[in-house]
Amino acid sequence: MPKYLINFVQQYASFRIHELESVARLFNIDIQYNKEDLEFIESLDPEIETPFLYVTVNSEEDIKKICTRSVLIKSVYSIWAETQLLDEILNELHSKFDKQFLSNYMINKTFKIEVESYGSKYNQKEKLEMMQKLKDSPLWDSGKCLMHPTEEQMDKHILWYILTDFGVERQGLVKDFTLLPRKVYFGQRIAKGNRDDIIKYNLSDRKYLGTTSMDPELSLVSANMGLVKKGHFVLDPFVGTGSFILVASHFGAQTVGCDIDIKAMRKEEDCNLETNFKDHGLTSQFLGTILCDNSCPPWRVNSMFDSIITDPPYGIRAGARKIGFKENRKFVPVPEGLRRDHIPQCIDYSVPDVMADLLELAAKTLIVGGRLVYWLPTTPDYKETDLPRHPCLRLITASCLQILTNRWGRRLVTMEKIIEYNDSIHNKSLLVQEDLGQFDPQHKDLRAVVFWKKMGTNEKTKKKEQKKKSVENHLKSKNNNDVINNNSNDTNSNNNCNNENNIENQK
Amino acid sequence: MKILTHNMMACTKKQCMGKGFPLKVESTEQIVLEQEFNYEFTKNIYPKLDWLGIAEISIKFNIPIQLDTTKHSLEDEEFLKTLHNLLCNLKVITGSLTCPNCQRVYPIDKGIPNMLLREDEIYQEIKE
Repeated sequence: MPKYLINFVQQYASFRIHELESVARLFNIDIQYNKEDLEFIESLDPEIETPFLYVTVNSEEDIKKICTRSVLIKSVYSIWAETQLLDEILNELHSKFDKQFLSNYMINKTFKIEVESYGSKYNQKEKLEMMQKLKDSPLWDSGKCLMHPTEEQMDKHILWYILTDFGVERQGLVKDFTLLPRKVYFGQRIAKGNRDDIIKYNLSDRKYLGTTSMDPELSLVSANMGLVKKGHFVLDPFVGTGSFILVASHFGAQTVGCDIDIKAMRKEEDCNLETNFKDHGLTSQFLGTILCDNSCPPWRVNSMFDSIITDPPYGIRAGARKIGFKENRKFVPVPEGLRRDHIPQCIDYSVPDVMADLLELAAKTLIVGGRLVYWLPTTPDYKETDLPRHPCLRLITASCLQILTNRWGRRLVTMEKIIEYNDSIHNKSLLVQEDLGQFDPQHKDLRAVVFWKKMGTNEKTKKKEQKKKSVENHLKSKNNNDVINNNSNDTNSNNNCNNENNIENQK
Repeated sequence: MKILTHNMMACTKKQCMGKGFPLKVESTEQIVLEQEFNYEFTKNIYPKLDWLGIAEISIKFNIPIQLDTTKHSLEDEEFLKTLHNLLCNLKVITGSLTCPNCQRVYPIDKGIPNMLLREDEIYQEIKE
């Protein structure tokens, strides 16, 4: 079975392997890799992290198929030689391959050599020097060099690559010429990842946008995690401006979206969710939107969606709302004549409730084997018991983490429906917390974490308050007469004591 | 609202759970789209349909369709084409949906059905 080297993109380290696995599952491709390498792929430590991973698949076709979908793969190479030093590449190559084989390999073919590096950059002169070092090989006996092949010539064109891996932070700001790469690879490029779709769905080219539109790269990753493919039926219950259903439609699914906010879906006549689909030529893949409330979903209890992909509101940029009666108002039924165009009152919808309702919806409407993919904000205190659960759903992974600030980030959670929903067993009111998860979740009050000023218990605010107090006291003491002056001295000394205490506390 | 969306929907009230479909459609404005036949999708959606709803729609909009689904299989392409045409090419722009159980009317405006309940209906539910 052929072995290939995958060069992943540098960012989203924790997403890369899960996306690869999902895409392989999508095409029913058996993919294998050394589990010990994962440590380096997912590592955040610049000393050991690397974007290179060897995988084994059944055929070259398989890896090409994976590359048509995976957006976190930069390119895939078939490696012919791998050493520590560039000078040893040829020795390695000649010891591994027969001379005759190399000499005949490129008969009737054209080629081009490129140099690429991870964690460093070469100028044209350096690149040429590196290529020169490979010149004494029978490999170049046949074959013609071609710099700009046309479409038809691509079949017989081979792209040779010299890859060097320095590691992302080893090189430093001032280039150290004595530093040697961790690894040098020589091989040919088999395929490029699906990075073009990111440019195609660029947010700045999209006419209709909102404050929380998901960026195209992560939308595409979410769709890949959701195993979206041609003929599928996909739902986004918090559709907003429709980033997820747009890319799901791009992958050939028929999509439908729901939202409680009519403005989000029908802002203007010529600039709305539907025109975005039109601009990308996907109108036929779009079924429409429904104005509804996530706490009372408008669907039959029936397994119908192949995947549900969504970014629920979690009260940081977009607050979650549901219909309900505000507590401070008197109960007045809506008069008969005004019911049709009545805009209902909304109340806050707590994030744990949003999550519980979302999982309930997924349990009721997904097909068995269908996936629920959603984003969940988390803090560094995240524990797996924070996650919402449902007896019908199995967690696939929640380790894809995008770090946004040092206080919080968001995770891409992927779940799979494993058994059919049964109203008499899986009804939400019959389930206990053991089944539903979310044990004192940190996403319960995320605003307090993100906008930490509001917490009031923070050291910085404490200090500020004390400073303010002491200044006020100082001013008071100045304005007062002699008799009170003694007292104010006392308060001043008190303040000094306080300050000393503060310093001690801080220590 | 395309007919397929209608076929998947039900009344949002909790007391209508399992009974609130097929919603009765009233339409004052509808358009017929011309979209290519999507074989994979029609095949995928076929076992998930509510045939009672299809029957009602077929009468309502006068689009004849073979309802005796035991006779034809997924290989009958003509049948799948008619089905796809009914589900994906007919779009209700203005009209209303009525729940067969509680008679609640949901308006459809500019092609988007409004399935929101009023706050007093939710309040009633909590009280009950």
